[in-house]
Amino acid sequence: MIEITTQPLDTDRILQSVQSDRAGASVMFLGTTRQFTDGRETVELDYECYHEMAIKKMSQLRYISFEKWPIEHCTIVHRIGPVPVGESSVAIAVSTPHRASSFEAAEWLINTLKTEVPIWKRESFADGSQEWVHPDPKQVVKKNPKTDSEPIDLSEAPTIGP
Amino acid sequence: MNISIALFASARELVGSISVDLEVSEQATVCDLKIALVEAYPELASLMSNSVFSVDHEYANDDMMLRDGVEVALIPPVSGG
Repeated sequence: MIEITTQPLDTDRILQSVQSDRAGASVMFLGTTRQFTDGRETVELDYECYHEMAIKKMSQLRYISFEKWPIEHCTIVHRIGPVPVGESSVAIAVSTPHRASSFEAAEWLINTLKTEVPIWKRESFADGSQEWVHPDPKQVVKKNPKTDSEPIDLSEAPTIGP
Repeated sequence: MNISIALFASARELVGSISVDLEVSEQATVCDLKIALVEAYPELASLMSNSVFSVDHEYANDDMMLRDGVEVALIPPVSGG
């Protein structure tokens, strides 16, 4: 399942979407708006997306994860619009026969979503200032060397519908 | 040919519009479009060095040739999740 929503994430529904009798493990990652970063206080993140391309990229990511791990089900839901502190902007849920794959796949999916999917956040701070978050691509990107040693090219990946 | 470029995030804010239209040659590449965009909208210059273009919902290299009717977007560094 791939979704972009303006609503608060229904985590019960997301976890339910990956349940399978063939899976001994399921992992759900939630990305939530954090209050403090480098001494600055955030009050809200506001997300914007290039909708059709974001859906396409999330679908491609999901497809590739099925090739890399023995995944039973995989769901990615991203919220757009305002996401206050403590609320979640993204949920990634996977289920696999054994737990190691679920942990690895979920980690790879969020790491890759954060570099590949055309979604942007604008941060609103307690002091009233606002700024778009545009990370420097030349900075070292978080990767798990066990699962992420090859460069990623999603463009050849098919998309599977929800 | 006329190419419409969708703008997002700070690019949208800097230009004050959700898209801009540029006139380029029939043989124009993505690189040519980049140059034309910064010429027409110099306020985008600092953002361009870290941004990429998408063509028909796929990331595009500088040497990709454009065609009439393609859907182009300027993709500043993404920050989903």
